[in-house]
Amino acid sequence: MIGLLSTFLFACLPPLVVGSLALVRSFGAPSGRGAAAAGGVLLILAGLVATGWQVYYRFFVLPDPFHAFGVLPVRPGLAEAVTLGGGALGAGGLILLLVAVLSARRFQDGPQGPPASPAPRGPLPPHAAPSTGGPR
Amino acid sequence: MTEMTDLTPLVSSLPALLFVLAQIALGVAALAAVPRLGPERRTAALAGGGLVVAGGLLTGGFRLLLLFAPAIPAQTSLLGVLGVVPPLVFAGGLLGLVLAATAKPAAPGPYPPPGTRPGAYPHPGR
Repeated sequence: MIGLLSTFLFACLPPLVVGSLALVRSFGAPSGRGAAAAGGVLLILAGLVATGWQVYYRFFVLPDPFHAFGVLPVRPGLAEAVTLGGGALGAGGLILLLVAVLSARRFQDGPQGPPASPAPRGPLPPHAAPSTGGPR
Repeated sequence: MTEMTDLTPLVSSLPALLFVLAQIALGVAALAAVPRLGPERRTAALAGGGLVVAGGLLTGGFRLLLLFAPAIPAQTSLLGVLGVVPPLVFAGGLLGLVLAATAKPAAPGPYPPPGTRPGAYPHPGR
């Protein structure tokens, strides 16, 4: 029971909390809203996948008598799919959060000051000078 | 006759180790972006990137420890406590990155009174 609680508290709940926080705070963010919100959604999905796998494993796989013989009584590839899916969702959320941070940098670089002044205009090149006495 | 080493556990844990490497690389990327960020985001991004890297290293170390667990004395309670730490550190890193991504810029100071703007206006006659 303590193992179950610690697993839920320390492995399943943190992605859900961080993803929800990212989703809520993304609405008031000055930049990178879409990336932060999508990263939060991906983290919430990763937390849901981890929670679902833990529930399935603890309540359906462990009581199975086949598990006592060292056989994981799940469909072949399901454990790998959960590992890959959870890892991909977490990595995708991390990438999107990184994109949100970098877009905030770009936003900050933009409106900080006036744009660079254009190049000083010198005398017009000879071929562009207005003609005054040419044939009409 | 040489004894063949069973590589099946190592091969089966390769995808998880690849994700750990990706996490470390992304944390390093976040750390590399810190000097270009504003001061209100710098601390959170630095802490987030550092914790993501630390969480990835701890996760990889824990997985390698589990791979070679039969070769060391079984300390199940110690392994249980160790297994709790990496996800928490990684979640702390994610939280730091969330705070860095959604931080609001510092409020600008009051506008200077007119006439004190630096730089001289060009003379209208020129």
